Amino acid sequence: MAADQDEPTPEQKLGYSMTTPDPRRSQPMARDITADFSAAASALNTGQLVKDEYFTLFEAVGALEIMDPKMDSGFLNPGETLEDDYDVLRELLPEEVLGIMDQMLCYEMAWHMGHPLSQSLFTSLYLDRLLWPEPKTLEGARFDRDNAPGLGNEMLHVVLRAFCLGLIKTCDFVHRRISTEHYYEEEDFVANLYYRKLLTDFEVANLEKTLDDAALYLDGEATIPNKTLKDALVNRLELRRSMLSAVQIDGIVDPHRVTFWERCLELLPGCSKTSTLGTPIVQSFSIKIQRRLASSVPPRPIVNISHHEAFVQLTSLCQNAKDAYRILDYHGGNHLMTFVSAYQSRMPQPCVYVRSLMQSMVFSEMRVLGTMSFKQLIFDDLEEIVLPADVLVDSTNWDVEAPQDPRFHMAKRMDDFVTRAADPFLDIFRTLCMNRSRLRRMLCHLVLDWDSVQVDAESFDTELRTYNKEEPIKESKNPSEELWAFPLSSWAYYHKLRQMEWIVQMGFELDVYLIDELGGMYWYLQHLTSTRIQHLERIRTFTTRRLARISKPTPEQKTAFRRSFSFLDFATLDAAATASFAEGLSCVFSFLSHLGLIPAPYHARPYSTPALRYNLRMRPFLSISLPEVPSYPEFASLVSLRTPDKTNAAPATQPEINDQASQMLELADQALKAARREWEAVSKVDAETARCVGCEDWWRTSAKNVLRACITANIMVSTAKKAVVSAGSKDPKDVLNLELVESGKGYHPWWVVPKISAK
Amino acid sequence: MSDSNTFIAPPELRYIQYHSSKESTYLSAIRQLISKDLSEPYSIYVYRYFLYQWGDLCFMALDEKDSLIGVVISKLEPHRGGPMRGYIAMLAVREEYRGKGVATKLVRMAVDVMVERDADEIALETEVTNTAAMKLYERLGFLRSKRLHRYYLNGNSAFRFMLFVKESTAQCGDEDENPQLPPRPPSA
Ligand SMILES: CC(C)(COP(=O)(O)OP(=O)(O)OC[C@H]1O[C@@H](n2cnc3c(N)ncnc32)[C@H](O)[C@@H]1OP(=O)(O)O)[C@@H](O)C(=O)NCCC(=O)NCCS
Repeated sequence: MAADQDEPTPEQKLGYSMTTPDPRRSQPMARDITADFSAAASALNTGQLVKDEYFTLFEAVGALEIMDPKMDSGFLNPGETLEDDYDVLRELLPEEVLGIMDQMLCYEMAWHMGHPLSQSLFTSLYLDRLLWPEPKTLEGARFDRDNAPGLGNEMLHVVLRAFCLGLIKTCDFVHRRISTEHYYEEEDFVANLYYRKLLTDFEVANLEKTLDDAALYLDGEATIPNKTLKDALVNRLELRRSMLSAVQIDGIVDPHRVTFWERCLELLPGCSKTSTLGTPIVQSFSIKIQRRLASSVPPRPIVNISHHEAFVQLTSLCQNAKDAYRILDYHGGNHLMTFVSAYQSRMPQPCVYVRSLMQSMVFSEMRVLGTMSFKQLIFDDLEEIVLPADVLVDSTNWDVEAPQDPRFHMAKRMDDFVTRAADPFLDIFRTLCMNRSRLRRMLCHLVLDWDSVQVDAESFDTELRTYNKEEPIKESKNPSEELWAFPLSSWAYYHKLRQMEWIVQMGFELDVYLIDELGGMYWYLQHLTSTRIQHLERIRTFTTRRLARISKPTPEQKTAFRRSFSFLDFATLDAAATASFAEGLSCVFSFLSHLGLIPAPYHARPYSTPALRYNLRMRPFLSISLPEVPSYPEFASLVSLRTPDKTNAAPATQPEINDQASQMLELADQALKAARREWEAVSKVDAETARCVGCEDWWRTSAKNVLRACITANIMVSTAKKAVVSAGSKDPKDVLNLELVESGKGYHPWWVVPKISAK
Repeated sequence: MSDSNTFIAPPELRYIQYHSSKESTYLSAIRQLISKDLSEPYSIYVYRYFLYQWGDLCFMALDEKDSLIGVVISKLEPHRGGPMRGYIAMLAVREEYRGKGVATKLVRMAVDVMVERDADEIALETEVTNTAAMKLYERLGFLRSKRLHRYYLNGNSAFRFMLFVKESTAQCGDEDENPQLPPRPPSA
């Protein structure tokens, strides 16, 4: 596994000692130690483990048993040869070249999907010949290597070679892009190159020229009578060239890159259609190469994906990469966040290369989207959420040089705050670019960072007050109590609450909650969004007062306040819509467990206790200072769980049970009706207000799907209501059918709506 | 809903705790049983790693002829200097004997010893498509604590299952980031 990665391959060791002899090391003296070893081993019992404390499970798992064909990649079955007998230099027909190109494309996609090169591209004998031993010049990267180039066989030496070189260089750029960003080794991508270099040292222009020359050669080639076949080859060379230009490292944030991806998308349907013309050469790929790539891991099978799957994968890669560039059209921090989150939550999620590309666009070489400083981004976000046209973010403060001037200090402290908050803020975007499982796990860490950003921000707020002469709000009822705006910590709290909501919502998406937990988790989501609404109200109070105190607002000030109020309005609507839907579903699940159609939340199990299981579920939030996680008894009574005391009470009569069931349905009904109105309102909001300029299509699709889920939930509740009425004093369970929708099969992954029907 | 307490295991089976003295009798059978569902076998060191250090946390189900029907292999140690964590590493039951509560019984025996030996929490991973294993652990009181993307060599994802045994555990902050067993492909 990972243990093999630092070890040089036998070839490398050999190459090293041949070319650079180490004078300090004398020739080793060999001595047969078999007898000593047997003697020492006989002192041990069978099964006794001799290990130091550094021999961990990881090493145990990485260990191999030599001569076991399933583990020992060097093991040869009787009659098996070490090398392949496929002749890389044999004459190739045009249709064979086409076939090989498409096979390579499949393996390239397999690599993009997370499989190692040793099980995909690097099994190609052609690529192996080009890359090993490492060519010193681009001219040297040829199939006949050191031999003088022979005449003829241009299909191989010109066409296939150009294709291969273009492919390898593309992989080089892809590999470097992913390696500079956050990703998870083995989960997302296997970065191991097995000591091969992917033409890293050669200029992209020379490779582009090689591809152009090959296309020219084909153009003038009269010996391919089949025009469709010839065009298919030319198109593939152009596809390679466009992709190569698209993924180049230099200038990755240049919006013109889109044109290359567009060209790929134009070429792809034709390539896909003509793939049937090719003749695949299966023997030109061999698992035996693995022995030389990674001798210390077990042999692993070649990963074969179909042409169809490969073209689908490549098309979505190109489309997603093209779409990613839409991010460069900046409209504000909240638009940016909506963009990244909407972009990443589309299913299937964009592949790791594109997710890395997006990270690079958001922030690389100290620039946001290639043009802005991080400070600009944070200030923009602060202005929109808490500080419209505020003196704290007034850019003229930074021109003040007199230390006695409060503006000088405000500028300094605000800079310090940006330094403090920059990484956690950037991490939100980064986290959103991770695979969905990691997204949830990383959010659980990030939210703790934000908890401490919030604490630190409070000190900043307190200190800044002395410079900006903030006056607290004094309630007339209680004049001794002073309310301060705490803008920076309010901002941090806002972002923290959003992350907490995401953690819960990702739990639904990833199918982490058991059926009996759904009611409680929707209750908690409702609790978090209600807290966000209260927090937005608090922010609004201070912003409103600040505006009221400006006697004659300038047009710029008016615009800034208008923008901030529009944000607060929309955020409140969005939070309210989420809260209502969550409340409604929570009631639906309570109703179902009340009737015994699903198990009661955290019901008794042989091990652990309900409270312990609740604590386990709430663990990501337990150490967060605010909002505090309710204790289990509080939670249980709030969510109207069947707590142990309740179950111990005398069993309720059927009419009583039905009466309670009706009440629960009534609550569900009210909440879901409100949710429907609110989600309708959300889905009608214009892009500017919804902070989704640039990603309106994805955002709208998602909002519509939530609305669909919400409408379905409304229908389910009215069905249930009718059934309970018709049951009279009988058990409604006997007239209701419950069907749980499989994870990922509903309208929206964050909204689990059970199917309820009358029997 | 079935209550696992009412589960009755096939009576003809005997359940016994492993001991290093049993290595020569059972180890190869254990390996065979576990390897059946793996596309890539564990080396002998992995078995010895567990069995030598935590043989008493390994239980076997044997039929009347003493052939191995099922096995559970686990360990128990402080997790990153924090809570005492039990970990169920391997579990398998012979195909003809599945669905009869054999695995449940084996897991319960291992968990009971862990609890006795002061475990704070118990963890394990299983493939997201392994319905039988998930059902088994959920019925005992385990929760899915996180999803692990492409955790196994075959590219499949896993759930980490957790069980808190003691009050104190809840307060311990963070769960580990890295899985305990490096990924191996389970069920073929
Ligand atoms: C997982 C495994 C150990 C379970 O062994 P077992 O003795 O059959 O388990 P039990 O009978 O104690 O319990 C399994 C539960 O899953 C249910 N189950 C079994 N197969 C199922 C399936 N395909 N779908 C849904 N439920 C299933 C059983 O009915 C039983 O639940 P129930 O009592 O509510 O009916 C066994 O299937 C196995 O060896 N699998 C291969 C190895 C493996 O996957 N190990 C687990 C790695 S974590």
